[in-house]
Amino acid sequence: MLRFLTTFVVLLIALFAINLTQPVQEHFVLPWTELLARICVALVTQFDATAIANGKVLYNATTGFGVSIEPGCNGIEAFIVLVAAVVAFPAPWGRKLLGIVIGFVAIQAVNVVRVISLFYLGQWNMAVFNFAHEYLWQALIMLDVLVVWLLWVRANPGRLGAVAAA
Amino acid sequence: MLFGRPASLARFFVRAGVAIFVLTALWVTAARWLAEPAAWLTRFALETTGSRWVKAVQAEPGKLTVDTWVVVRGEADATGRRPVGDLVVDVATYKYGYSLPLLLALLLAAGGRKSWWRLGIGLLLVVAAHAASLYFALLRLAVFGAPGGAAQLGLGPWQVEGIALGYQAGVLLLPTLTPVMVWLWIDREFLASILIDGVLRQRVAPGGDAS
Repeated sequence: MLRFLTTFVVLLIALFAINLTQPVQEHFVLPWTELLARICVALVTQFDATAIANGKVLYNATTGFGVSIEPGCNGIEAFIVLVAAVVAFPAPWGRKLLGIVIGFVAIQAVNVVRVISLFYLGQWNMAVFNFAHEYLWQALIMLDVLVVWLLWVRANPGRLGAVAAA
Repeated sequence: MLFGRPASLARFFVRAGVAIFVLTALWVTAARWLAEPAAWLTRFALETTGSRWVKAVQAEPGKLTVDTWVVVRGEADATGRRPVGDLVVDVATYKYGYSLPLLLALLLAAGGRKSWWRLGIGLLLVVAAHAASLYFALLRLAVFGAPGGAAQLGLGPWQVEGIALGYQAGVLLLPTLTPVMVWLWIDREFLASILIDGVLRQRVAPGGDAS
């Protein structure tokens, strides 16, 4: 447990620091955030033709209301937590890679729901938007990370599971 | 049973999701007062470790205000003189306090008995993480809130990067990660049951060894 915790914390800090560097922000984070906005627009325009994306901002072309996808809302930090937790847990590297890939999809799927829900909540009621944006969705995204990790741990209990079952 | 162990992971997550929604909505109504322990701890940390940048701290319910040593020069007046003042920064103390409803939601969702001393330590850790978030939020405002703030405080480039990293971690990671880690420690038996369930699933999987 101590080894897992130590590895997790060290990885988390390292990945977080790398994430904040200019090259990573410029070449990975910002392009991903813009793609996320376009994905959200592609989904929203299935039933709402007024939505457009401009960079990392999702706009309503009629009202002018928009949500800008900023650090903390692009799912990257949550993904970093998952990567650190998966890599720190003792399991074969192939299983870890699979968990990371599936985890990225799972986290971003919920993140898309977050962005779209905030887009409409903001147009409806700002107090509810602020509640959902600043508190509720932050917690739900971390619950999503926990969901993915626990499911992956259950699928890969390995040596720790054998010890627990003994 | 509401507080019994959930029969499955799916039930745990549904319980947790609902509990997060309900408890966070309830927390918002009392957040200002629930943040007082973290606000007190933050003030204590500011006054004992922040002499380099903290001139004075003022606390009121829901808000911490710091009068910093960073000097700010205003626009020149008609005589050409530029007024000089201290940079004053503040933070809403409840801002990063949603760790508490998240921790309680996970504890409720997992059900079962809890150790009181672990609960106590867990709550202290959540309060400490909340205080750290507030501290770095104020420090970031002091360093970046006025031109030349870092230079005035005698901070080198790596120190400034460290403060930026601390702020990002304090805002983006600590409020949600701390309660999850605390919960995993308090409810270790729940995590062990997940591992055991995994082992048992592997043992009865088609084509697996029966043992």
